Amino acid sequence: METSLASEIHASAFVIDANGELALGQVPFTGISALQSFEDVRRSGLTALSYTIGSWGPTVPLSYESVLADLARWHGHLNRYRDRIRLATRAQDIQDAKREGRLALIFNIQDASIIGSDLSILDLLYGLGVRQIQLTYNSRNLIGDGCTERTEAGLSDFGVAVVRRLNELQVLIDLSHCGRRTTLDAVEISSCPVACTHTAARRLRDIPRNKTDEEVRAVAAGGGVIGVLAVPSFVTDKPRATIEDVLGHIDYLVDLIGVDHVGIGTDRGVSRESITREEYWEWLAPLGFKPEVAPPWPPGVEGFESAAELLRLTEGLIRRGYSVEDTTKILGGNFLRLYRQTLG
Amino acid sequence: MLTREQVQTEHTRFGDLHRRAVVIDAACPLINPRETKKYLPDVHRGGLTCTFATVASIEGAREALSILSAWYAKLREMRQEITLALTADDITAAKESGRVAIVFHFQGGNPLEYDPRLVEVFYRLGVRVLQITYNERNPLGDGCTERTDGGLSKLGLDVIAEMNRLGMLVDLAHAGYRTSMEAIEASRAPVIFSHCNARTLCDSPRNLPDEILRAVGARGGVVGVCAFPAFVSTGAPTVRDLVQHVDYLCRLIGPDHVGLGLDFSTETEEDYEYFKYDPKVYPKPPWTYPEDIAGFSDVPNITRRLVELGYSDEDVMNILGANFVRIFRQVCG
Repeated sequence: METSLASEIHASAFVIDANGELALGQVPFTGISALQSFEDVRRSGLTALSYTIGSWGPTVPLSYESVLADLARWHGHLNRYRDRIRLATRAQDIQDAKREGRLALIFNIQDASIIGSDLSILDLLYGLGVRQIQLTYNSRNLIGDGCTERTEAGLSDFGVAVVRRLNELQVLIDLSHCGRRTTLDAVEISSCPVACTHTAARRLRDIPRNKTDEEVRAVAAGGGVIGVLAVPSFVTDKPRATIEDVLGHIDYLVDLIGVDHVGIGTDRGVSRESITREEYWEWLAPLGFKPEVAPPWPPGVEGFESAAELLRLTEGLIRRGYSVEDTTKILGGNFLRLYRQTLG
Repeated sequence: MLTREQVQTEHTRFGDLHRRAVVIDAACPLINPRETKKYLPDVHRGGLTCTFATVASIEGAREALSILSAWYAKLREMRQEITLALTADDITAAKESGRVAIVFHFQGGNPLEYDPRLVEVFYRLGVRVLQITYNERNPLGDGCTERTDGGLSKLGLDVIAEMNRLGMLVDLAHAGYRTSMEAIEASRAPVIFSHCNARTLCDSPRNLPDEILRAVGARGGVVGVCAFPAFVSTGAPTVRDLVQHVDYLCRLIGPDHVGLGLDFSTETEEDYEYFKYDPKVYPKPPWTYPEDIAGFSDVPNITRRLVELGYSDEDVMNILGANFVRIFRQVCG
């Protein structure tokens, strides 16, 4: 019964993964065909996903150059697979994609350090379609401190200028990987609501990558949205995470900040990884993950291994007693509202 | 006051002392590939043995490399007059041969970008003094005019460990309070503040509170006093005001921990914007250095004033340069 209701909800809802991956030839999905990838999208019922631009990993460190190269690659994909995917630069594009039966892609960047100390690169990225920018990754950059940094400096003067420019440009500010002080500073300085597109509750799983109640409350008080992720070691300290752990974080956040401020940002692919454990580690090692929070192998949550299984999550929400209206909000209604408020 | 010519010819106690001393200016933005020729006569008149030449500060790796390559061409061209110093012996040998020793100095860790391995690359290219930050935040730590006081990053710690391993002087001028204290603590070798004054005498974020001064002194470090007018005193400071900072530091941390980092510069409004100076800390240019300490050629006035104040020959020699030579030998070899 939950299955049919879940399918019904997916048919009409805007389902948004605010931080996911679509497999079109890049690490860690090099073995997934485009056909398989679009089949996984169909199964997921996704309307939109925010894709992280800039292929990074063992051979290509994230840089201004690698971001530009990846943007070029994805504009190529948008053209090549135009009957399957489209770029979303405003909220209306997501609604249109639903009507057209295509997947909307919101381009994001997960480490604003690629702009160096040049604000005008933000305008360039905007021009190339990027609409969601995370201020820091795990470590310090010129803007602020990441969550695994040893210190907890807030935004720098330059960081304040970056937030203001992103507000002017109407780009969504993402604070998922930022440290506590940087997160709180950004919420305070931003004139628009902000998001933590892919995180979990620190109260349930005490690691630096998860957000404290204080941060989550601040983001929600500013009208923002917290996306819950599906990375096993981020949702539980048990050796094997299940979909119930993910649902537990959703429950906790809904209780804390209300159902209008919680969404999904899986931090996973729509498809499952096609690389080996060794290749996976080699890929993660340079990204500043400390061993205690590095995603384990296999990297998926039992029952919710990839975003292709989103229907399982919807079933879980129904099973836990969420109304159709609330389920719809969590699945993407809240992020759609946030995109409308920020991107226009 | 004696004229410069008198300093050079008359056998006054301070004149003799100044001629005998190894004199080091640990902060010289004017000594660069473009302007060294122009300022060298002043440097000689001032009796300087060695200048820490600012190679780069807020520039990236690529720009720092191109300035270094310009320096190599200049060192070749002017090899009768200047010489690159990689060790303390290079500095003293320069004195003997009548040449000016050039120490490559970065006034900010920005050229390292996010890669601690570049420390060794720049070391191999001859850089011996690396200031961790300029005024703003960089990937290593927070500068003194930054809105936050975040301390050293993990990368900052890695860079200091790498500098310790290789034998490079950690310079904390321009750094924020916490970044300075953490770096003093983290560094296995003594550190310097190449160009800073006492905050008790002149309240600027660029000057050092007693707590930092004591910490750097206790670890065997050296602080170079700075002639930049706004860091000496309000109004129009004179050489007496400058030497008052020397005197204060000598009383607080001892004459073995004090040196000169005069920071003479001629920046324009364009430079002011480029360096993103905080107007609360840096007045707008043109910056007027007082007549008796307006440039390199006036450095003997410092010696004269120290002698007037009753400093011993040994203390004067130490302040003029021997302290910096000692720490250079200890850290860089």
